[in-house]
Amino acid sequence: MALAAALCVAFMMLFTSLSVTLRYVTGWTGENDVDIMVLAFAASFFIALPAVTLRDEHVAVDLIDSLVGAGTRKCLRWFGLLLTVGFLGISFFEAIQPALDKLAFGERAMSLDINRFWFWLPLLVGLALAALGGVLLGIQWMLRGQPDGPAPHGDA
Amino acid sequence: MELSHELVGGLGLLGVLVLIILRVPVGAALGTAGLVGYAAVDSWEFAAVAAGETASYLIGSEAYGLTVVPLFILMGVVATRSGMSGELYAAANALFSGMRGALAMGTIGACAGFGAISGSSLATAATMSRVAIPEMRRFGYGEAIATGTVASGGTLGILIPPSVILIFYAIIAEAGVPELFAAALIPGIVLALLHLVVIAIVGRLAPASVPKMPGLALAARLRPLLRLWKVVILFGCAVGGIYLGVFSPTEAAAVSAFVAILIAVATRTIDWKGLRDSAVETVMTTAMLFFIVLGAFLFKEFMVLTQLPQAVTDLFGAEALHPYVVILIMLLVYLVLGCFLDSLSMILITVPVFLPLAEIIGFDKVWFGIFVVVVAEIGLITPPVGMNIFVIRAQIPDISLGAVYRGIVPFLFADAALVVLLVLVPGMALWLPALFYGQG
Repeated sequence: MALAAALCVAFMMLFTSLSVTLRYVTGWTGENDVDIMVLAFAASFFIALPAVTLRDEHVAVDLIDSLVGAGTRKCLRWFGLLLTVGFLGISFFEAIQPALDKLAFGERAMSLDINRFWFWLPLLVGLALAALGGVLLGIQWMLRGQPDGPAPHGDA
Repeated sequence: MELSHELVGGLGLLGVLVLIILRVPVGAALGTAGLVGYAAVDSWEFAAVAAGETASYLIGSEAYGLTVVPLFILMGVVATRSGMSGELYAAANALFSGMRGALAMGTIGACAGFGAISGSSLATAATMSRVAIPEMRRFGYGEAIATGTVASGGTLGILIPPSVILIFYAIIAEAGVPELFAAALIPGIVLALLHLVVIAIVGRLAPASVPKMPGLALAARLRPLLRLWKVVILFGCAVGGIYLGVFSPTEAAAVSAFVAILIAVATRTIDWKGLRDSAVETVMTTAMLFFIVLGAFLFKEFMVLTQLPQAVTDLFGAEALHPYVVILIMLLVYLVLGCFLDSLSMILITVPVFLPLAEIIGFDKVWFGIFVVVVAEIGLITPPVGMNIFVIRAQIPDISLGAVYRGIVPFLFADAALVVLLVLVPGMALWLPALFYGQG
């Protein structure tokens, strides 16, 4: 999935570079740039989200790890996973209806003249798979135990 | 007993901090606090609907502004993997050669340069610690000054444009990315200069830990400087293109990423596997960051619903405090938060509450963004968390934490000096946006 998401980012880069080149060379201005880029961005983010969840790579602060015992640490990681899956699951569940509304009412994207449902599709798939990824991670923990090591850190 | 909305907002803020300390992923902590808080103020039904709606912010046409993030990350990852950091370090060393502390000064110069192509503080600290610390140790530098230089130099990465953190501030504050990039340039350069002054002072006070080495001949100095053409081209595309109005931020990011790949392939510093790994690293980082943003959007909606930002503004207004006192209070809050939060979380949690207040007491949105990023930077090197400290420890495990802390202290004075300058001379941040875009 990460590779598929990476292809979307590569597409974003190539598409925009080409669009800029054409604008300066031929004066052509793309009318669909915004919609295409948003669609590719949504696809890249929402396709990569399940991989991040499944690999337990969400940004977390592990300050407490050195202050509590192994048992408490384990419980806290379960608690974090539970909230992550809950938040992803609720977001997915509540996104279903607006997405179906777009399909039913035929709402179209501003310039790209496709149904806006296509923008919602990566969101729905990504959130659902990310929640599922969290569940799979939980099953993995139950079967093999939680891996040791520092919590994932992240920052811009 | 019915709680006031403002009180629920305050409890929500406290709740999110508690969840983060309890090791809940930051995005889930923000989302859960937003969801529960929204339900407490309104109803579960509307809270759940709000969760679905906020997720859709990432697919609306306004999400075009967000597309800049993965593209700048891609540029930084490719630049890192293709070894531009080593060239920057060699060039910066050549520039300062012959001076006491030349290697440390070169590290600051290289950090500033690398920040200009990576946009990330942690990437800058991680890369430079591998390149610079072994070299400084080899030439007899004290461990404290060697690690302190890299930890604090790394913070230049989030101030010198293009900065990913500034882009996130722009998203949450609804400010312009070009204006913020223009505003950050002078404070970034001033901070780098202040760091050089700190090294010069430490070299005078403790010459044994900051050795002096013989200077290079002119030709030997020029050679590594000439190899900087890649960095110059990338910075020109990424930042120069935006400043001159040639590119929009998204276009600049895409073109710079493309050019970074072209350069890396042409100079054979990256292979197919390296390119694929760079793209995968980019999307994983992007997904990690935007999961936080997803939670932050919902948390922001909750904050707006509680009217806590308005209550905070009214409270400070009623007290009629001097704007400098208000800024000082905010600074203290950021310093405390910086002890256990990363800079992105800090910005996403606090900006919705503090920005309205800052604007009402007369501070510009763009100026406030630079102020927040500078203070968040200090958080990156403030014990006990200080993300850059851990990054250095991860790269060079045999260095003691105590040595890193000791090395950082002198640089905190430089950071404090920048904050004072920024508050007393707001033009330092606002002059360039006014010049380029007629605002600020």
